[in-house]
Formats: sequence, C-alpha cells, structure tokens
Amino acid sequence: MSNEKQMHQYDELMTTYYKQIGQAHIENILAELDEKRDEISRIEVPQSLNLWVKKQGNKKRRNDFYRRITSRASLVVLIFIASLALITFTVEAVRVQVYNLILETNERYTSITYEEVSDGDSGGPMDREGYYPTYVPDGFALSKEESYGDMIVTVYEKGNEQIRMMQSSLNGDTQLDTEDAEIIHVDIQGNEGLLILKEERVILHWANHEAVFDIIADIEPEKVLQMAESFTK
Amino acid sequence: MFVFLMSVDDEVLRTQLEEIYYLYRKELWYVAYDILNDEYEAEDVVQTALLKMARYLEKKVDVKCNKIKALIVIIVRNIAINIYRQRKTYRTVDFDSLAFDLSSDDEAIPEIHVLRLDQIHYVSKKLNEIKPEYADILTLRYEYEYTNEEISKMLDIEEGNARVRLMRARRALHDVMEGDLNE
Repeated sequence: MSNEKQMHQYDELMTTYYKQIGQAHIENILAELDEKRDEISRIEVPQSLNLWVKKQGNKKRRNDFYRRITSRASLVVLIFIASLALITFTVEAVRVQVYNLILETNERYTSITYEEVSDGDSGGPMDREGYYPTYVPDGFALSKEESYGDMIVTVYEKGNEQIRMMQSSLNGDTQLDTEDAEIIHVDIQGNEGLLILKEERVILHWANHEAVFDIIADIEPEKVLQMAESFTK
Repeated sequence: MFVFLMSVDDEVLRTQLEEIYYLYRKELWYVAYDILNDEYEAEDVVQTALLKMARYLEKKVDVKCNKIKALIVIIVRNIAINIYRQRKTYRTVDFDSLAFDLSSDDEAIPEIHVLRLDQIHYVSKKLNEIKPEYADILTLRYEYEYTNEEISKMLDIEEGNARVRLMRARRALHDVMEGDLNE
C-alpha cells in the first residue's frame, strides 16, 4: 500500500476516533451536570437575565424602527471616529515614552511588568508589520512568521538550529521561566533588558516604547545580543 | 450587544433560543458562575452564549436533544474561561510549547497502534480533566463538524488560536492514550 493511501486511511481512522471521543465528551458533560443536579436545581437565575430573554421575544416589533435609527446613528459615529483619527494623526509632537521594567523574581520564574513613567500616549496597538533584525547569524534564514493574538512570532532556522523571536504589545505581564538560570541585566538600544542563560538556551527579553521582545535560541549569547541591537522597523 | 440582538430577528429562531434558555438556564448559569464567581459576568456570559448560539442554530432543531444542551454548555464554559483569563491579564510565555505551536497543522501525530473503543469514555473524561477546552474543541470540530473559523467565532478566539488549540488537543489526547496504554 502506498504511503499516501496509508496516511489517508490513518486520517480517516483518527477522524472517526475523534468523533467518538466527541460523542463520549457530550455524554460526560451531561453526566457531570446530572451528578450536580441537586445543587443546580437550587439555583435562582437572576431576574435580570430572565427579563433580558423575555425582552428578546418582544423585540421584533421594535426592530424595524431601531434599524432605521441605527443606520443613521452609525453614519454619525463613523464621522465622529474619522474626525478623532484626523486630530490624533495631526499632532506634531512625538512624545517620548520611557517604560520601567519592573521585575519580581520568584524561585521558578521572573515576572516582568512595564510601567509608563513619562507623559505621553499610552502606546496604542502594535504595528502589525513589527520589527525585524538587520543582523542574523550566518547560515540562518527566515522560515516562519505567524501572529497569535497581539503576538508576532518569527523563526529563523539553520538545519536543526532555531532562533525564535516574539514581539507583542506592552499590555499585560510576562512570566519567564528562570529557575536555575543565570540572569544578566543588559542594554538593548538604550532599553533595559534581561539575558537569561539556562543550560544551553539563551533567552533575551527587552522592550522599547511600543513593544516587548523575546529571542530564544541555542546559540552564543553575543550573537543574540547583536541580533537584538540590530532591530529596526 | 445591541447589534447582535438585532440579528436575532427570525421568529422561529428566537423562539428556539428562548426554549433553550428556559430549559437549561440553571445549568448555564451554574457553569458560568462556577468559573467566574461573579453574578454580573456570569449573566453576561449566558447572554453572549445565547447570541452566539443563534448564529449556529439550525431552524426547527430539537432543542431538547443532548447535542444542543452540550453545545450551549461548551460555549458558555469557553466564554467564561476566556473572561477569567482576561481578568488575570497575564501573558505567560511557554517556550517549550512554542516550537510545537509553530509546527504545521498537518503534522502527523505519532502513530497510535491500538484504538480501544471500550476506553473512549474514560479517555474523553481524562482529557476533560486535563483541560476541558481540549475536549471541547475536539468535540466541536469532529462531532459538531464546525470549521476552525466557526469555532473561533463561537468561542471568541482567533482562528489561529483555534487551530493551535485543536492541535494541542490532539496531542494531549495522544498523551492520555499513550499513558493509558503504558499503565
């Protein structure tokens, strides 16, 4: 039997199996709810929720009227947003933002929060084009770039070796696995960063005024630093 | 929210949604509140789930059937988990799983030599214990036969996340089965 045919049969088999798992999961969900039925039967659903559902039943008569209003309202909102955007984009001053890297080191991980310490805009959504390094160690070539929510992940490969880069917006905290790792404070383009050496792995974490960056690789730390220094848009 | 309400303007559909609500409201409320421990958020989750359900509900479906009940429970549970996570606002970078995330969606999972149908309930339960979202997404994809795009809209996640979650679910399932065989 050819490999292709074998793979096709394997896929079919697994699809059937996953379907069976799904059916079992449905039965498990129902059984789980059934086990808790005494507790569930005592629940008083908020009256506001009942009212909300009831209102949906009476909504149809009003829908046509609302539709007429919403079409006009959306035009007004659109004009309002457009004028706001125009005002925003014509502000000449380029505000400088400085972010403090606040570290909370635990035995197993390091939690990093970025706090704005100067006046200025609060760093809007990250440019989806993102940053890229102008220096890449010899032999490495771009193999993948993907977005996961507000995170862009870029991968460079050379044979089995891999350099992974992540960039995301400043919102939220980052937790890095620093258990048994050596942590070195470094400077990347004038921003404070952390170089984490854990066994053979090098992790570099830093941020500028608009994004947080991580590079993870199994190459010399000097090359990772050089790569970070070369970041540009 | 208002815009979504406008979309449920089909009489039959709205009646079905009302029926679903009155049949399962206690269960839905229980599932949402159990995760969020907040009345207002739980209420919001149930409303959102019903509106999402409206997009995928076929007309004249038997609202009392187990598949419909489980579907609305899955939607409520996943929306509640999303809100719970957003509340924490932590972004955890899992370096080891990242390489796995980046691998192809079509990557073949190591061959499973023995598929024992008599263990399906057990395996499914165990997967649900490890991470309910994994069991949920496998069910939505293979039993309900929704596409990744539909699942992402239903669960309020990016399509890429749906794809990655599905891949992780398959891998987790494989691990559960492998562990089971080794026991």
